[in-house]
Amino acid sequence: MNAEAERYLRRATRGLWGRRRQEVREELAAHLEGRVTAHQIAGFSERDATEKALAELGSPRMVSAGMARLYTLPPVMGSSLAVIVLCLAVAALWPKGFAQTLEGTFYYPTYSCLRAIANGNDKLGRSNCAYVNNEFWVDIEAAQRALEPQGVTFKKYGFAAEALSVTVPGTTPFFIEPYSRESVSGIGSLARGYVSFWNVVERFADNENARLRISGWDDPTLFLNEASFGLSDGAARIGGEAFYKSYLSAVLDQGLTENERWGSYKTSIGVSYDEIVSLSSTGNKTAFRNLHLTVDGLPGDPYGFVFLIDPASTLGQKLADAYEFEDAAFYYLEMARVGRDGTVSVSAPEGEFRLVDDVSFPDVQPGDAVLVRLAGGNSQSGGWYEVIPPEDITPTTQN
Amino acid sequence: MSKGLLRDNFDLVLLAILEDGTKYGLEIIAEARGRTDGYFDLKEGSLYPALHRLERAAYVTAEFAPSDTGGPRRRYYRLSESGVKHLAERRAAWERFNGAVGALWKPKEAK
Repeated sequence: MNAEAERYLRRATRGLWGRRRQEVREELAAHLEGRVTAHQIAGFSERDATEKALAELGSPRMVSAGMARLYTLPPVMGSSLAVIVLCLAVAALWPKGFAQTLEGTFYYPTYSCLRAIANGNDKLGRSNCAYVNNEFWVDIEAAQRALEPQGVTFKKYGFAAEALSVTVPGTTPFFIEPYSRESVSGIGSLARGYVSFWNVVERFADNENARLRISGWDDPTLFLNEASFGLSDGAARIGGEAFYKSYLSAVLDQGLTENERWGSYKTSIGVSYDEIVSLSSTGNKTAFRNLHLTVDGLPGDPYGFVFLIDPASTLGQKLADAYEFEDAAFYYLEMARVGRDGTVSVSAPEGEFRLVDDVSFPDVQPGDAVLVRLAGGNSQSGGWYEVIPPEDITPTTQN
Repeated sequence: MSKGLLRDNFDLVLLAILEDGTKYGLEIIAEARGRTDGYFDLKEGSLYPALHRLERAAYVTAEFAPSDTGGPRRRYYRLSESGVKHLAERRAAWERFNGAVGALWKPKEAK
């Protein structure tokens, strides 16, 4: 099998995982080989025969689309599948000691979480999403009623609810986990999840490749289209839920543009900010695992970090190739809590990434929550950071 | 034609091809083309998802055959009992439909 054939097989099995993927891949490989052999018998060289066969096969996307429709991703928890470390890391700046008191004063949009899923129309309505006890709830039946007419497919499986995610290729997944079903008085039977990941909903509505997946519980899996995306469940566990929710609120409810999103915005959560006062790294440029940052925060404060995966890096190429997106930017999110020494440490995933350092905060006022994209290397950070690329893209798991 | 109807007919084609034996993807494509004079020119993009769908519906079972060359193994499909039954039902339904439509096609004055 040459590289072209490999690429075809990889793309045709995109969206499938683990053993299923291997088996479908093998089946298609045998198919391809059969066609190649037929052309060779007709007199073509192996190379030409392969080229001809691949041309006949056409786009692998139809295969992957059809297969993905049939086979959903298994639950994220305990998944043995490769999960892409595609997370939008954000430097969350929390006031000293404020983090613990945020939850009670939290504002959260009750409906706009799913608004974009319905392509910008508020098809689901406020009663179908609820924010109860700082948790985000969604009415699955209502989602189903609203979205099936749009061609979204629901499937049912028999295992416990695990996660809900909205993924848009080339952007950060919006991920809710864990996820279970309960009755909420006055609202009905809802699926519950903690908002624990990033939402790039503004791209979602425009992007035909956006996909919502609820895995687990009765597995109502919604595919708004065929593209699929792995996601990382690592970031959620460390903390910063309130921050994620505020980001969600800002993005969804306030309709921020991308530039605004990367700048400062106000939310009603009353968060003030501090600057990252220094950026230092340990390890050498070519291989390191841990990044230590000195931040002006209290022990326990959550921080998030953005790492832009260098598109020219091995990992960047692999991701771009796997997901076939032009001009996609892949980010990695890491969240950590400030330690007793006032620093945060993040462990890089296996892969290559670039620490981005655009850390200015124009016009930010106390009370603002700030999203920071760290871009490009700076003199303090020393530029590029690389870690050993993996054979496969593997999940980062944190407990 | 609704999506569901088209898909159902496609399934019927595949089940019918599998009626007389266990076959793998390329064989199925070749036979579909050959037996229908090229009318059904199945593409991988639609064939394999359909075969897998039939497998999940338990109308067919599938197995890899050992490879004698060390290369990728072929996956062979065979009708299951419920597949045989389903095919018979769908065939009967198709023939009823066909018969009804056929009756309507005949011009009134013809005998």
